[in-house]
Amino acid sequence: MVRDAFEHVFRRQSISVARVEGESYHRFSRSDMIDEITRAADQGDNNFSHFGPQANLFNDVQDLFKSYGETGAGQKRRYLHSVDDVANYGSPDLKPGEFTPWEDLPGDTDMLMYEGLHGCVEADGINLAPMVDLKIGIVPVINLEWIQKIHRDTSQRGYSEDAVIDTILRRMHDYVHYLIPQFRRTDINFQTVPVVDTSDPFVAMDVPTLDECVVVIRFREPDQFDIDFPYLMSEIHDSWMSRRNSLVVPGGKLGLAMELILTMTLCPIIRRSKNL
Amino acid sequence: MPQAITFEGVQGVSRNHPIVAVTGSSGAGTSTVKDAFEHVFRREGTNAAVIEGDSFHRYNRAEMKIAMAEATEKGNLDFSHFGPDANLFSDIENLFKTYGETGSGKRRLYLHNDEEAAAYDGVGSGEFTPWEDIPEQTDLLFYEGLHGGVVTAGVNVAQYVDLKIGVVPVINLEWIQKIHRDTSQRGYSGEAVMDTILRRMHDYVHHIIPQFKSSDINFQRVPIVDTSDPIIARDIPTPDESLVVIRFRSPDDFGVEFPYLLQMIQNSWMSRRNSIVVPGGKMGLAMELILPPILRQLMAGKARK
Repeated sequence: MVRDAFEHVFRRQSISVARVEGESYHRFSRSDMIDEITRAADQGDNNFSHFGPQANLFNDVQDLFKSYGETGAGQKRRYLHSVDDVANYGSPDLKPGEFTPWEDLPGDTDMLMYEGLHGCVEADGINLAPMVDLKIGIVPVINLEWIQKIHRDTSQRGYSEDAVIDTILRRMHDYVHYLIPQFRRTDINFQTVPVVDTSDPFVAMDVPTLDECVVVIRFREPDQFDIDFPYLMSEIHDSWMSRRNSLVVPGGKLGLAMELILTMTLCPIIRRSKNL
Repeated sequence: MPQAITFEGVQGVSRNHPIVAVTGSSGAGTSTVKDAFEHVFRREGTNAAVIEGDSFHRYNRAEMKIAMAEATEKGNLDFSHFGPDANLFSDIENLFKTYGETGSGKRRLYLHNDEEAAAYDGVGSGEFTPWEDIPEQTDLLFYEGLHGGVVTAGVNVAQYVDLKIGVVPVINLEWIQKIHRDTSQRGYSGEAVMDTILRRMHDYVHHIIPQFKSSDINFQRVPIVDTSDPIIARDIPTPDESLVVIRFRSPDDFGVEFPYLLQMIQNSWMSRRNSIVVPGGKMGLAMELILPPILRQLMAGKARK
């Protein structure tokens, strides 16, 4: 949904983009990660997770943002999730859960788009947020996030429910210390809020559909981007303001809201950069 | 007069002495629930024996600190007020069983502060009053606390409850409320509160959350302002900044008439076949519409005996 909205805006506004995936900055391949979790657990650290600094190359993300911001150049790689990813990439040496080699970003792009868990992370002397021109947070409420993870991991990845709950609990420390604080630094947060009962995420049979959700959109400083709330409310049926900087839209309107807001916020940034 | 709810039969176990349990953490809206029940009890002339969940803590405040320090020393970082080690689950079970059979049982109070303790000689803030008999001739038992439907390896409280009500915030909201209360009123640092929240997660997931799958009715307060970082949310979302999702496990058991509720509660709507969404400010109204017929049904079952 988010990705589609971005694609539409990029295409319509003829913005050429260098894309980077957050997972490509994992420190470990899938099999190495399993070893590392075991090793950490042996040493009494039950909080080792993909969310924290030990398992990610935050430094490299910072270098990339810095070099792209200055020169428009940098390096990227991909993390191959599945057999399909491996086949698409076309390298017989690689297995699912491994990284492709580092390679140069395409030349002459208008902007860099990072999509992942750590776009505004601050840890161990690294601070990404000041290097990012537009910071967007996509934040489900925790009950919903748990439902989604349990659903995906048990139905598609064959894990037991207990194993998924253990993983969720193991990651809580890093989640609270590294992921959550980013959302106070973001310019715009989109938070999907279910309006069905999520009180026990571990038995919710279905992931709430978009029609069973509303989306809360919060602008840290609406003035900074000249956000025109009356315009948004007239374009998005059944939307309403819940705070002076927060707009609520029906779940099904998330895509429309994103396209309107991204066009509003991205275009001035691109225009400015082209005039430099 | 329109009839909101018709009676097909509450699937109760202790009809002669019914038990109503409201399960939820403070801040989730339990005070709204308590007020609504009080209104309904008064209006219906129901004489309820009120039981507060924290009176079944295993330790008083001072003992709890010691128990927690001991657990930490032994490497148990998951010891919390949410779990079986810190609560007398089997005593709750016994009370519910006894009350259901005979209408009697023992209760005590946990005194939260000096104000509450002032009325009791020799019992201080953070301590329990002595156990005493609950009054005779009550119409029903009303439990309000964290463990009204708890089920563990050896204890099953849920089986003795005739009407199980869950009051459940989404987790972000619960965190905001706890952080807000503990930092502004109790002088803890944000870090310290977060540590407590993390320490309790294990028990929360294993002992609190599973209760809500067996509730007859869940009330879930859903904020519609940004709660993505609970630590910096300056203000607890007000009722006007939230919605309440009300889910009936099986609406037919209570003969719930959704069209009537939709008509009575402005701006409410159905989100699933058994779920109605009402504006946050209408939670009290919704409860007072939903509860009386169900309580009348419980009392009617009692009269027949």
